[in-house]
Amino acid sequence: MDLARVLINFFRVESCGKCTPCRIGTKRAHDLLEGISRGKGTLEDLDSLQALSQELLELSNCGLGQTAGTPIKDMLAYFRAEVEAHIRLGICPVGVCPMHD
Amino acid sequence: MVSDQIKETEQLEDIREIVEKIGSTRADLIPVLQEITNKFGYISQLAIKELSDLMSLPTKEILSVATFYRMLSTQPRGEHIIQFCESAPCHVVGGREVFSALQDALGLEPGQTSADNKWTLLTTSCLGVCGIGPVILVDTDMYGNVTSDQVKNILSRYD
Amino acid sequence: MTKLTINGIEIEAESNWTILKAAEHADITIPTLCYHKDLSPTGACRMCLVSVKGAKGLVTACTTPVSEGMEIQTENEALTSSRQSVLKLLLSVYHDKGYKPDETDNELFQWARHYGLDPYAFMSSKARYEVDSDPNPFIFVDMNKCILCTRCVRACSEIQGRFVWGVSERGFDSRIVAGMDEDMLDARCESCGACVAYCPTGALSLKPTINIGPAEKKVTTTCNYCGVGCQFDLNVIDDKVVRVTSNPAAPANGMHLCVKGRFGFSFVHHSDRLTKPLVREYLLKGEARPANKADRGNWVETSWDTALDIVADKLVAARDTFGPDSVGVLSSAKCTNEENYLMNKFGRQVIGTNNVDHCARLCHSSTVAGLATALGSGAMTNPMNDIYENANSILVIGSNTTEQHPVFGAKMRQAVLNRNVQLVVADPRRIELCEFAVMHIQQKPGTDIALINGLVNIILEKGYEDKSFIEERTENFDDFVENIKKYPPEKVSQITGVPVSQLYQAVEIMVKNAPLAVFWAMGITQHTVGVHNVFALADLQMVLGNFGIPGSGVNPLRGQNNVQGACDMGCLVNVYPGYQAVTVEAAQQKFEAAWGTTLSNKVGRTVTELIPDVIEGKTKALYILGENPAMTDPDSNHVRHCLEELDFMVLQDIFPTETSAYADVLLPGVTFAEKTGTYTNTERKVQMVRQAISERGDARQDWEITAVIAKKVIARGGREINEAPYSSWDYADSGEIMAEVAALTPSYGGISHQRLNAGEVLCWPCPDPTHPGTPILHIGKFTRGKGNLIPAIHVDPSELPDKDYPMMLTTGRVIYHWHSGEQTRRVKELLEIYGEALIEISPEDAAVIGLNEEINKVKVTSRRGEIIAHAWVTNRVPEGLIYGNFHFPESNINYLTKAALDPIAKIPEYKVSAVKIVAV
Ligand code: SF4
Ligand code: SF4
Ligand code: SF4
Ligand code: FES
Ligand code: FES
Repeated sequence: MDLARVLINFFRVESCGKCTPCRIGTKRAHDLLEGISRGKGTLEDLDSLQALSQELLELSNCGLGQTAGTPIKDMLAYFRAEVEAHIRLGICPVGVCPMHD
Repeated sequence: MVSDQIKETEQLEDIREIVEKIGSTRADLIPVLQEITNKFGYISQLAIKELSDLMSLPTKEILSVATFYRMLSTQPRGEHIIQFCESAPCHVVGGREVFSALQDALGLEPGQTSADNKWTLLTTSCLGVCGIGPVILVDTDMYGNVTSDQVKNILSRYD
Repeated sequence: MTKLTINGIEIEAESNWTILKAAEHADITIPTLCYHKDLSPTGACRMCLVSVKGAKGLVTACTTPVSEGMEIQTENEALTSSRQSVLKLLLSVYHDKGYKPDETDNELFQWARHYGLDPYAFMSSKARYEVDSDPNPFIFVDMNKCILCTRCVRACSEIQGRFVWGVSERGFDSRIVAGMDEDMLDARCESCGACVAYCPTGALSLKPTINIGPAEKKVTTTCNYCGVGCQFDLNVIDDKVVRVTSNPAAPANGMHLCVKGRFGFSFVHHSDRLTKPLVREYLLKGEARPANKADRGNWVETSWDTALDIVADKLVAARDTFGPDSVGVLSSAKCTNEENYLMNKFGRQVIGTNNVDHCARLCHSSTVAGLATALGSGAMTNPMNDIYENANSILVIGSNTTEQHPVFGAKMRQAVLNRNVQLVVADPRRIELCEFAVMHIQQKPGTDIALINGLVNIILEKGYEDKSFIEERTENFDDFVENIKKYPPEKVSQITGVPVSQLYQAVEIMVKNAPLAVFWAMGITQHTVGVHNVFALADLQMVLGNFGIPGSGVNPLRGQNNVQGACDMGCLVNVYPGYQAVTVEAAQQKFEAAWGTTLSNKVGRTVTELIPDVIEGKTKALYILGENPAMTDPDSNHVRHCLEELDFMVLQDIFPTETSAYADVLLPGVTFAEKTGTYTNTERKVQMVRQAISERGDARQDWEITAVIAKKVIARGGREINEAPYSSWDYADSGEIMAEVAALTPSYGGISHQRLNAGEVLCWPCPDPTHPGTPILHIGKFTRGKGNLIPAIHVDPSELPDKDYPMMLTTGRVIYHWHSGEQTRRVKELLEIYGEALIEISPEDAAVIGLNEEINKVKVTSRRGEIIAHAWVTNRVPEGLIYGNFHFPESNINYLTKAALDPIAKIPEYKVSAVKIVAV
């Protein structure tokens, strides 16, 4: 979960800002992950993240934006339980997320 | 006031020299801006205006380039620039702790410059030396495999 | 040709088309936001994604070229959802502070609704930026609504050629900034408003009328400032003009406008508007004029009938006592063709004089006379768009195009940027266009003939002349060459101050990049040698064979919105409408038969003669429509003195002007927003002006006022006017007047309001109702048959600097104001940007006379007067030359200019006077 956040941050910072999905989508995704890592996530956020990862892949102009969704998609595919723990239980199972502001 | 003017004149002369040395075509813009950042620490509005005349480029284009690339700056920066790698490989080998230590030691948020103008703290994406992460770059000095307790020591080298 | 299918429909496309273009062609709409047909495509917003069979992922229709056999889907469920995603993302960073929008839904909202999204439901509640973040008085900047489509960036660079907007930072932090993140005006914004017109979200909007809400109705009309003839939509709420918006169908300008056209309309509602007829007290009391000639006494409001009766009585008295030629009729290049036609008819039919003139005398009379003699037709030969598309080089001499004909100036910049057209500017001042020129020739003022003859000399020396063109289409070559021999490069260099090598280079540029189009304006015409200047330019183009083909020609840029039309309508001393000479018997007979009276065959006196002639008692009464000679004519002190002596003046205008001090009756006419008729632009395009709001107060249609005066004068008798096809003054509307014009004016024979309202774009000559008009003149043959190569002879200006008056003064306008400023000085925002006359002076001269931060005013004195104004120290002017304008009464440059006239055209030499200047 933390790793996905860091990876998304990379794309957010490196986005050139030209096309809509990459410029705004990476920022949105990062905000959502940031929120989850601070204990503020909701389950709808996960749906939004799922959708965003798909949009980034399909709609972006270049490879950067197109790849940016992959960490989220993988996170949701392989670590969903860990992520949901942040939301449902308010804990970070691996103890790296601050879980507060 | 008078000394400001003298500084301005000197700065303009330096800029002219830089353009003469590197060139005045569009392709020369990035190297010229890099050189100006190196020399003055940042790219001032005065510099943009002068470059616009010297290189026949609109100011907006120079500003776009100057604000696009992280290695260039349009804001005055501290004497020393600390760049901390925030990419995943560095992050997973302890980057987060090191960065907290760095922030505590400096009392700065990313992008800020210390009140005494000594430090500017920046985060950066992968510096290409992930094998020795976490990585801190102070000006041109690269520090690898940094741990939290080394941070103070590294900073003290620049006293 | 490329074959493809879109949504199953088979389409044939040009191979260089994009998918979007092919779809448009087949009437299939693909949603777009960052794309605009006038701008280069960028593929940023991702609204236009479509699916192409076999392609990896979706592709952007706006940037993807078509290829053979493509199978494209523009609508399906997946695409709808991807467009919804894009719209939601964009709306998620869109914050609306709640200002009433200019249009009910901007483009972003329209698409959102189209795809079933309520824009307000998806908007951000947080502002990221300051609202109204730029002090530009015309442009309201609210980057909270910006979707970073970069249309503004491209509009400013590609349409206006000004490069104000750019993108700073990157990623989510990207934002639109002016210049180096400064105020727009500091970033060299010219306030043309193109960026606003192309912004699809309202992030940029029109500041003067912000928060007023959408228009109740929009009326398409033609700009009343310059001769470019831009069209736009007047937006009306509650019978008031609230804003101007672009109309993409505008023939001359498309979406583009300049600062005056887009923002200079609020004078229409200014409280100074004349709304009631005014007459001097002495007239109402039936007394004699007050003994003090400088003061004609109090104004009294009166009824139309009373006022017009007085006018009729006075005009009849002057005509019958001192003869028809004691009366002068001064028409207006600001007014419509219909109104001008009536003024011409009034002077000739009702009064019986050819003393019918207007301000073209002061601007392009030398062009009309020069080109009519050389070619047979005194107008611009090629349309601007033709030149933009086809010229390979352009010579601009004596035209500050980007300030005076801004939309054409922008076209010239575009030609250079997009087609690498080689632009040569010849001007004593370093005008703005020089930035785009490959060469700036800085000749001394008043040496244009030497310069052009010098170029022709080199052309002949090198054998570059178009021999077959000269042979087949011109005459008088031998005489012409004799004269050219007197202008060898070294001598020309001496006269003009232009280096010999530059003369040779200029010739190479113009010859190697044929066709060459030549443009000029007042810098050529306003000289005592104005007509010869025009001869020289016509000669140059004949020698190079640059006539009758696309991208070529001689192109005088006419100043006023309808100065072309006012000339066409016969508001000149020597011609009836359509340049039918009053001295030609057939023409005289034709109009006598049409108007039912006898007409004079004696050429009338010009405005530059009528006014000075007051002193000799030759001019007794003037009927002036919308002109302001006290401001605009040279040597103002003398003009004012003459007007004081005048027996009677009736002035028909929209504001009290400097000239109204000398009027006895003041009649309130209406502005362009209140009238219907036509203007003829500098390209000879006849275009509709349409009434958008009702007349203010008791103001009346100008054509009606003239018609009523005419009827009253006729009713008083004293001149025999019989029943004839066009003797009557009963018109139901201005369309009927145009029908009369068409019947009597061969070049307007096919022009009617009906055709224009049906959307036809007609350039005269347009001889009959089925004729499509004539965009390019002189194809295959000159109007007069053979082109006349007339020797042009250099003569020094009438006044040159000497030891008493060591500096040269040249005059003109600035982009923000119009002529005597009656309209633009009543637009608050224009005054904010340019609020007083500035005298341009070179840094060298400024140092000599001791200008600095504290001492920044100058007193300029000529043999005729003096003015004081702030100085603008700039390298636009070279050492020894200063430049001033005539927009502001306090510091009107015409107190200094000299009424030295061109012997043929009677145009004054505004462009050169000798002055002295001191800092005060
Ligand atoms: S108003 Fe015109 S000149 Fe100014 S920024 Fe907009 S497009 Fe550019
Ligand atoms: S200001 Fe308007 S035109 Fe410019 S980028 Fe933003 S939305 Fe597009
Ligand atoms: S260029 Fe001329 S016609 Fe066009 S908007 Fe400006 S003033 Fe009006
Ligand atoms: S991730 Fe830090 S150097 Fe590559
Ligand atoms: S319209 Fe094609 S990407 Fe914006």
